[in-house]
Amino acid sequence: MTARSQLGEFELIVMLALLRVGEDAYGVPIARAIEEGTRREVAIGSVYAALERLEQKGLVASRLGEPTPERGGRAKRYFRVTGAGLRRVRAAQRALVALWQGLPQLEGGKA
Amino acid sequence: MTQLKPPALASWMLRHLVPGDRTEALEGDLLEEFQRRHSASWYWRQVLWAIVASVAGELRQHWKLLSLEAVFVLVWTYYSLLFLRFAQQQFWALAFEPHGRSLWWVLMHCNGIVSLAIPLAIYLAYKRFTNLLPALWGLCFGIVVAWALALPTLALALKVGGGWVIRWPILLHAFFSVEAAGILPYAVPYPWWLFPANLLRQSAPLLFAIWAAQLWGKRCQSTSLQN
Repeated sequence: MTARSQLGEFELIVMLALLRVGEDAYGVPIARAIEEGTRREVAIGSVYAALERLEQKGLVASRLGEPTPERGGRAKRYFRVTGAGLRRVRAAQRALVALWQGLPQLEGGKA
Repeated sequence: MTQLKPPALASWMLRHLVPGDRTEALEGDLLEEFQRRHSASWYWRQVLWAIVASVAGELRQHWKLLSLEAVFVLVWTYYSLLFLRFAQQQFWALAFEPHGRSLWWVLMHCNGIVSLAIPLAIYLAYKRFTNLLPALWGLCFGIVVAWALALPTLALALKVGGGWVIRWPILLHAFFSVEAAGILPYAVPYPWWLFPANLLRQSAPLLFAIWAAQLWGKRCQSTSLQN
C-alpha cells in the first residue's frame, strides 16, 4: 500500500461516520456523527473535501438527490462506502488493533 | 414556517469562492443546519473553513502545475534580470530620453504580458481547455489582483528619495516584474524581499484563470443538467 493510497486520520473518521449513518448519508448527518464521536465542532466543508478525496480514490460513491424547499431548493448529495472502501477500513482497523495490543501505556484508560 | 436567512455575504462567498461541483449540496447542508443552530458566527466559520478546505484541495490537486508555474516564474525572473543587464547597457541612454522612455515602456509591457501569458498557455495546453473566454476573464481579474498585491511596492516607490528617475523603475517593477528592478542596483540596493511577493503576484492571474474556467465548467454542467 503506497503512502498516497493510505487513509488519513480524518478520512478514516469520515468513513466510519459514513458507515455509522448508513443509507441516506449526506453532509449534515455525517458531520453530526463525527461531532458526537469526537466531541468537537466539525466544518461541513472539511467533510466534503475529505469525501471528494475519498471519491477520487474510489472508496466512496455519491449521487445527487432531489432539491427540497427547506434547503432553499438545493439538492442533497448522498454518499455511500464502496466495496473497496469497506476493505480499506477493515485493513486500517486490523493495522490499528495490531498496533494497539500490548501497550501498557494505553491500558486502564488513563493518559 | 419562514426560513431564517444566513448572512448574505457569507453565502455569496460560498457560491463564488469554493471551486468544484459540490457547492450546491454544501450550501443546502449549511442552510439546513443554520435553521437548527440560528448562529451567524457558526455559519461564517463554516463558510470560511469550506473555502480554506476546498482551496487547499485544489492546490493539492494542481500541485504539479503550480510547481511548474513557480519554476517558470523563478526562471523567467532570473532570465529577465540577465536580459535587462544587457538591455540597460543598450538602452540606458535611450531610456531616459523622451522617445527612449516610450520604447522602454513597450519593452516592459511586452515582457509583462509574455510573463503572464506563457504560464496560462502552458496551463491551457495541459488541461486542453476549450473554454478560453472565461479563462481570459479570470486572467484579467487576476491582473487587477496582481496589481493590488503590488501596492506595497508602490508605497516603497513613493517613500524612496531621488525623484522620479529612481521612482519610475520601481513603479515598473511593481506593475510588471522584478525585471524592471534590474536597473536599480545602480541606484538603490535590490529589494530581495520582493521575490516571494513577486511569485504570488505572478501566480495570481493563473490561479484566477483556473478558478474562472472551473466556475464556467460548473455553470455549463448545471445548465445541461437543467435541460
